[in-house]
Amino acid sequence: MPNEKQMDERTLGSWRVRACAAGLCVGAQVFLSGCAVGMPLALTGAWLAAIPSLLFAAWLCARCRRVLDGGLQGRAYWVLVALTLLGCSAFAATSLVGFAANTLVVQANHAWTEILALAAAALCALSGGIGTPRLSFAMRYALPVLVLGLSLAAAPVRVPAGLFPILGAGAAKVGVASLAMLFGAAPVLMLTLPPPELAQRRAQDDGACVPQTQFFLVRVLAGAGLGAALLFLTCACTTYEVIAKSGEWSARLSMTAGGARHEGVRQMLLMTAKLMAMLLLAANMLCAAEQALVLAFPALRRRRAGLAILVLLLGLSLALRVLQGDVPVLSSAPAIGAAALLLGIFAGRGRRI
Amino acid sequence: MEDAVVLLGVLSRNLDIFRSRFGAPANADILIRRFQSGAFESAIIAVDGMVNMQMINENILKPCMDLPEDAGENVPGERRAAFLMGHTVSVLPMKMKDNVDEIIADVLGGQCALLSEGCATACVMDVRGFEKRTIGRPEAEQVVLGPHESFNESIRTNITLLRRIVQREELITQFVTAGGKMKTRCALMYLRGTADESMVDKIRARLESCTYDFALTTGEVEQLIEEHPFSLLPQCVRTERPDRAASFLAEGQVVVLTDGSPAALGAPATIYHQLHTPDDASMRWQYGTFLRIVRAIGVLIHVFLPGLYLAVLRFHQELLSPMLLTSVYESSSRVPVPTFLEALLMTLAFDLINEAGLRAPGAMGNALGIVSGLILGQSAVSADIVSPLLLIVVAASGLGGFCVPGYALSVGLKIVQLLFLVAGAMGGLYAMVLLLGVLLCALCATNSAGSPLTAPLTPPRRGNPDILLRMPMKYQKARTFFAKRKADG
Repeated sequence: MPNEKQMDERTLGSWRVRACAAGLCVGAQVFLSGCAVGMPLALTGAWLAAIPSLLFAAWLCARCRRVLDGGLQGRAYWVLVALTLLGCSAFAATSLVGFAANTLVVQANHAWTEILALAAAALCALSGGIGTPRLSFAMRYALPVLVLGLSLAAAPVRVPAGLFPILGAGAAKVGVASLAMLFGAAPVLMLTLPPPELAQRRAQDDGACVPQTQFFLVRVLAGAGLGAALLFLTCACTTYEVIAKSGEWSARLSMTAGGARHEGVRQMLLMTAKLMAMLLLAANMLCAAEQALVLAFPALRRRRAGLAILVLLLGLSLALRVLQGDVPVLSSAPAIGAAALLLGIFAGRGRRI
Repeated sequence: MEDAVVLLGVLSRNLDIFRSRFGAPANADILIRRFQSGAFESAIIAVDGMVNMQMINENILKPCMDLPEDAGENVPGERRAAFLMGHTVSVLPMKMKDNVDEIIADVLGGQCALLSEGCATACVMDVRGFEKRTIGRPEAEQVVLGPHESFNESIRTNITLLRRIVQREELITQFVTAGGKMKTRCALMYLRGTADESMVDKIRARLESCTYDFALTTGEVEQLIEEHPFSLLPQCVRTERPDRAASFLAEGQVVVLTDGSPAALGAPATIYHQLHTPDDASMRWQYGTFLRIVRAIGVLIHVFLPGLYLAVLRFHQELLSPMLLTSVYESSSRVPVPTFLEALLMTLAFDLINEAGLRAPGAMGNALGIVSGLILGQSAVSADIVSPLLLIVVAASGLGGFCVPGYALSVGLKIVQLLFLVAGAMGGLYAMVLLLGVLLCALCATNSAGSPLTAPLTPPRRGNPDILLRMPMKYQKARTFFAKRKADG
């Protein structure tokens, strides 16, 4: 097995960037999935329901390493990965718009905020899948520390208010929520794709250029753990009744440790940090989805046709949100989880699907 | 491709070729002087004003004309130029050439060509002697500590300045001509064994492949080297200080000097190179670090403050205290234009004053800044054309802009500042965060001569603890990521 110390500096650097970006994305997705489907089902027990998704992320991570060794290939596989990651991107973009509309730009036109989010995600993805992971890597400490630190600082004296009952709405509902929240681990699938700069050097053909599973596992679990910790903080500082009454996903997203929307500069900083995390998730997923789509259909590489198609689909999903509310995106969440599960089972068996 | 025109064995026909190419005698600058050198005739070709006449008279013409009449009588025609070189002419840098185009290029560059009867080879001698500016103080990179000399427009002087600092046998100078019709001489300097040769080759190839008619200045040469023409920020670091250029060489960068430009380009560069000043390294690490932090705060204020002001005023009023908010709205209500337009006009007015101050000669520039900044600003507030808080915001932002060490970078950041201003007005902090994400992604994807502009921070590369914080010298032993590893070189 390759040793990281023996790897070329640039190759190892590219993998570190990829793994950290995946970790950050998983963390953000776990938190978002907790707010979207975990809280309505399990109420204050949403953080508990996030734990299976952590284990699922670790399992998927090990499977991804096998895919990188050539364990699973084929057009159908890459199309499935592209659609799954596009779903994650749509989920993040929807969260971004909903969160902003509920906090920072309450009075702004919703269509306008959606257009801005779509344009930003598309422009970030224009860097060809290099800029976005590198930015995620640069923020791998700053962003989690800022979000967790500010959330902790904003935590009121009533911190344990939401801790009990530990199982929130009950064991059965926590179980259902944990199943629904499995899609929080879906961003790990980006690890099945080699970093674009290495793909250009055809380094993925050489199995020795891929680090060991632990290399990815540590970073992914750290990210997922941070997401779950943020979810725990949010649940613990919010009472059972408040969560039960918050019908909208965007309203739950804005529940920070303090729960108050307008607490000056500190809250504003927290919101901007969360917005940045959501933007990075949306853009990273879009870049990875484009890469997977191009692997499935190489002709789409020309003039970034793959990206154009994905941006169009992302725009469509955001438009659906305006017309139908959050239901279309949320209903796709279990499907994403199922797809990821399917991939997890087949990976490593040297199959073509 | 056309065949190269070469010299003939007949002096008069060779001179006719040069007269025809130079347009002489209509072209009064061209000096063509025939004279007797021993047993055969010779001629010298040069451009008036570009050569050192005293050197030509004393080291070439006089010794040749003083030769006895039978000197070189038995020397075969094809060896006559070499005979003169070996026995008579006392000029050190010289080359034998037979290609007419190359000889013309050298003559135009200030060298002189010596041709002899019966010889199809010319001797090209470096007798450059044109007027040039003396070595002065740097204008745009002034420092408190450290040396106070800067490059001038002569590439030879600039190379000498660098060689005086970097006294190492590994220092290589390669001349490259850039430009199609009007060729510009560039010098590629690097430390053999420290700089990455593939990167040197890449830069050289880019310069040589230039198909434009001309690339006269360092700025134009920089555009030939860079990989991302649409990027807002520069991808090479420019300096007018020989000590800084020497530090680039020591780090493994390639330094490009352009004839006629008083600046050197360092490539590949990182974004941190562009935010560092020579003073940082001249001082103890604590002071250097402190100044860097101050500069970083200045840059942040410059870029974000005007946009933040608009964002807070239009979307996030809860961030201001009621007293301040009332005062701001009260003063804004008297201004006849919307807040966004007011901020945009004021920012542009500040840039206008700055630009006018730069172009105005000497002391007038300073006076202009004071008159525009103080008197016009005060009058504008008194006349209720702008609100006082906006004036403070624009002034603070402008002050932050002066912290940016490089002029090219400061212009790039001004554009970024305007983008954030528009974003703040359109969507408050939400749009500003989105724009920040987009710009940072673009920055992270930018390369400088093949190396990431944001490394070693992202992607991770080896480097010294000398990015924002400057650690003590004993921790700065690693070679930067774009240089060769010590074991390799």
